[in-house]
Amino acid sequence: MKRVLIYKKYERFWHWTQAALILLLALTGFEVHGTYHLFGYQNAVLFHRNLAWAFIILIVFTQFWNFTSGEWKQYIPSKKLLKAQIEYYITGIFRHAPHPTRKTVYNKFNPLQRLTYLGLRVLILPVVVLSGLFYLYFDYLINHGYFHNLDIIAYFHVAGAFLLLAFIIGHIYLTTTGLHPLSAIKAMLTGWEEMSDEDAEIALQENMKVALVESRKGISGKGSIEKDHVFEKAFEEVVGNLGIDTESAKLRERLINSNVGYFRINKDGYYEEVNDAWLKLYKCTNRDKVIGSHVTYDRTPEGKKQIMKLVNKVLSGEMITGERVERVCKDGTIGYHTVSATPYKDKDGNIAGLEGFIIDITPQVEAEKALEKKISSHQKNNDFYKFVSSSDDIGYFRIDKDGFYQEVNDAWLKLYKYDSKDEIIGKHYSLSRTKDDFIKLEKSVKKVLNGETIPFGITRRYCKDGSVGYHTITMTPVYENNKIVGFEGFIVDKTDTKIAEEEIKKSQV
Amino acid sequence: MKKLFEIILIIIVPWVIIFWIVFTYNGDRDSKYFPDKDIHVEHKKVPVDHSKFAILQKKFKTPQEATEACLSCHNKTGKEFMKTPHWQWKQKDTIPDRGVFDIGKINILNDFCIGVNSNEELCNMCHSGYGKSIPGHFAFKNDQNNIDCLVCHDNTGTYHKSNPCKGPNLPGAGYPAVGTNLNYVAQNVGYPQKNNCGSCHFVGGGGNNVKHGDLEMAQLHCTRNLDVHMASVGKDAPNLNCQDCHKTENHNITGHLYTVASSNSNRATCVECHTDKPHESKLLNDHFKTIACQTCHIPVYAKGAPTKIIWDWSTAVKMDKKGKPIFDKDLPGHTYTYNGKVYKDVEIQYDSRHGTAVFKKDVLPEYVWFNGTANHHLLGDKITDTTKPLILNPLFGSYKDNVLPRDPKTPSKIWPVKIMRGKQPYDPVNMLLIQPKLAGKIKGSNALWVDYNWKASAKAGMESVGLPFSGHVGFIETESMWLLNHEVAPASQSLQCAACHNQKDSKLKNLTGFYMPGRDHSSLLDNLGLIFIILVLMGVSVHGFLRVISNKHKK
Repeated sequence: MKRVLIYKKYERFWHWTQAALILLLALTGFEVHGTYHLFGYQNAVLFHRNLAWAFIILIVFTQFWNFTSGEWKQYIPSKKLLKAQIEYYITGIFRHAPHPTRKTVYNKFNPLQRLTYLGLRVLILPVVVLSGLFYLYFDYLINHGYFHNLDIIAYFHVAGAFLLLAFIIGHIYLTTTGLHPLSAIKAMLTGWEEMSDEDAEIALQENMKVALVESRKGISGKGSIEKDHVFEKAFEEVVGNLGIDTESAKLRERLINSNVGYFRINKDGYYEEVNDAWLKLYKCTNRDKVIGSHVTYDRTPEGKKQIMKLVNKVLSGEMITGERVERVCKDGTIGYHTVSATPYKDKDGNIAGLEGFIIDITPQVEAEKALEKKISSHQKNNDFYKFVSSSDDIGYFRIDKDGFYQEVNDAWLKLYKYDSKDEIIGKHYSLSRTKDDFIKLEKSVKKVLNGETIPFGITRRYCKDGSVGYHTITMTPVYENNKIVGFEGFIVDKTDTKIAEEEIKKSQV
Repeated sequence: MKKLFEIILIIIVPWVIIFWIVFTYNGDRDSKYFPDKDIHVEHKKVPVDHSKFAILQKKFKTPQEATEACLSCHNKTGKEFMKTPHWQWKQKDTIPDRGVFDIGKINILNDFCIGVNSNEELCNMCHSGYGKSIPGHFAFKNDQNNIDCLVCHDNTGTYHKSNPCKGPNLPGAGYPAVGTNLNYVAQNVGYPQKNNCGSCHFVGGGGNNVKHGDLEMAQLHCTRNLDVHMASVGKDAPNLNCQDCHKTENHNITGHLYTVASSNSNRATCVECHTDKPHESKLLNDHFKTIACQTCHIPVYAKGAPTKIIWDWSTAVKMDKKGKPIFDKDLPGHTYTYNGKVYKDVEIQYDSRHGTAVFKKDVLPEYVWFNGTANHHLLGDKITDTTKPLILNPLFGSYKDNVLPRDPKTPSKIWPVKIMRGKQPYDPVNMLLIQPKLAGKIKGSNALWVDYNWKASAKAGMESVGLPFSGHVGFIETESMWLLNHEVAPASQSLQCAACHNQKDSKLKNLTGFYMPGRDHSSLLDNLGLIFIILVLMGVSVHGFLRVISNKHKK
């Protein structure tokens, strides 16, 4: 038996507060309805009102949280395995068949729950809350002649109340279908759910898998030309498939063998395991030297502080995804990567350490820094050009204000699979885009030609041979005599992330 | 340990904070609340000593001489008073959708002693004047010396009007009783006191509290439990006079009783002192739009003496075995069935002159929608439907006045009423209510109470009002609506929410056409809901049971 982190702190606060509010609303509400006498009618009415306002405030906060944290995606209904889930409750559960789905922090709900909770959120709660507000301000409706049928308002409110009550009964009953009858309730209280070893392993890996996708989004930076459209889709695909795929048990193995740096650290901060990709990124050769060393070893004082903050965060039971950190490599050079990590627990339920992976973003960060310097020094700094022309990883381009290529570097040609500069200089940039992508990019280009600098965004390129690739793009205007004559920028290929992505895709097949 | 601390921090602490706020925060306090302590009532005293006036020393031989003496100083008051309903027994009033009428005892019949016409000799003992009205015209003799100043302004408590039916050779038609010291009374005049008003208004219908049910002798000397306003005994007794609420100027007294009035005007209302925001609770103040103050604050009436609730004239004129009339005989039993409804804890009296009368103490009001206007079955109005009780003063108003949208000019409110029920004589041929001649002293005067002959009485009475009589007397069920305004209970005894917001026994169960929280529900919806909940409970029980069984099998 293991424990896996499922519920976040706010979620636990919200769930139990809402549970208490709904029960007390029902208790006072049915007294107002005249079903029984308990608090006294006046008290029941006043309590019901105050409870209602508390409920509305909680709903507003929670929806805000849902949208800002991306949790709303967990309510997107999925047909996949819905039938399996229903069949499980009807027959499988009596045959002790395994749960068809698994809970993870990124996929708390099975398809049936998704459907139920979505229904609760978009149908029952709005009906109850709106009819309740109409009830409360019925006098206003009458005075303004909008509506005068309190009975209809009341019937909707009462019907909603019955449905909510039925939901609560079913909901409480279904909490007993976990590993142990009280597992689910314990999980909602502590955030950690007890699972069988096998389930826990899968859940943990699925947590990581999603963290990988999140991390990939982190790499793409904050401003995104296509608003992360491509990766959003990839993410949804992954989420849609989460909890389905038992094959993914091999994910950790694949991660360890991939170009993504994998690590595991015990609760005291010492490395327990790293993979080859990790060693390569840190430019270490001797694995034995790393394993057993402390995570702060060989870091700058600032880096020490930063890494301990992240380690402690994970050890306290949180998950981190796509955090940008600076690393000092064995040879003294400085690199950048994103780190995603999740805690793991031992049999007694104590946090035993953390594991995660890193994805290198050094070229990108360096280009970013050079560009920043160039912009802040008012175009007079040539370091940027030196940097990009010497880089093998960063593709450089300059386009005039009409959209024709003026200059590209060798890295650029490589990424776009062109053989020489002559093939592209003087051509319009639409040549390197599919039609849909061109329309999207055009908007961004207009912005740049108006003087904006667009930081890292993910875009798709159309290569010479007709294949499609992904890269981050940064664009900034080119000035001559204080007039914008075109724009330039750099692109960084997403090969490393693509490997990880392909791994995930493979694991999903 | 850390886990427990986290649970306390994330779940328990927010619970404590949120539910402490929810259960203690009073969001219902009305910021415009007007407390009772801001109400001030002053009782003025007459600024002069009337006993020092020479003109009041002169021995008065007739009451008219006393009035003349009053008017010699108050020389404009006579004309002023003779314009008031207290003198004229009528006033111009508008009946909605009918027009303007002179409404008063002149043309209104009730279901007590029915009407004053042809009975002036008796009825005028409650007229503030001396002498009879001119028969057929009902215009009081236009001599201002016939005004009875003293009946209202006597502060000695020794002035009473004569009841001419109590014996032979008594002064009649509004004259003072034998032996009244007019000089003593005149020298001690002042502002009217409760007993002045009460000498007529407490005893309407022929006895203490018979007519109104909320106006009775007990109010002269009572605690707040009986009437918070008129209480003179016990703690916090405000001892208000009638005019403190029924504000009076130039003998025009505010107040509208809808058994003799019809328009929404000249009313003495609670809000004049208490404002329309008298509660701390906004929720309660919001009720003001649809609920009259009286509805909650007069939970019960006739708290001192019983009031007459049913008067069945059809049983009158029966004699005892010896052929002699029966007077004021208490009948056995305390339940009375009338029109299919059983009235409990009542006193039943029989009198050959009146028929059967049913009295009840501590009566629970009935409730109606009322928008401040009323119709009247005026003298001469045709009866159109004898299958159901004829309502003598139908009160206008319904829930619909308050919606689509609410019209602030004629809001309808739920009011408490005493509904007086009875059977009274009518002419089944002409379809007219009958004005009988009731009071008389001389046998053969056609007065019912002397001759016990309905036809003769009806003929004489109808003649006096100039209406035809077919010679047939039938009896029709009638009802009159007496809005309750007095005997306001202390706040602690007022109706609580659940008295009306109650599924089983709502006081407003007879008022339909609107949805009232706590009272109304859709049985279909509630039953479906209940069945749904039971099905869900059964479903999870069966499911859980099967799981337990299958677990045992596995082991």
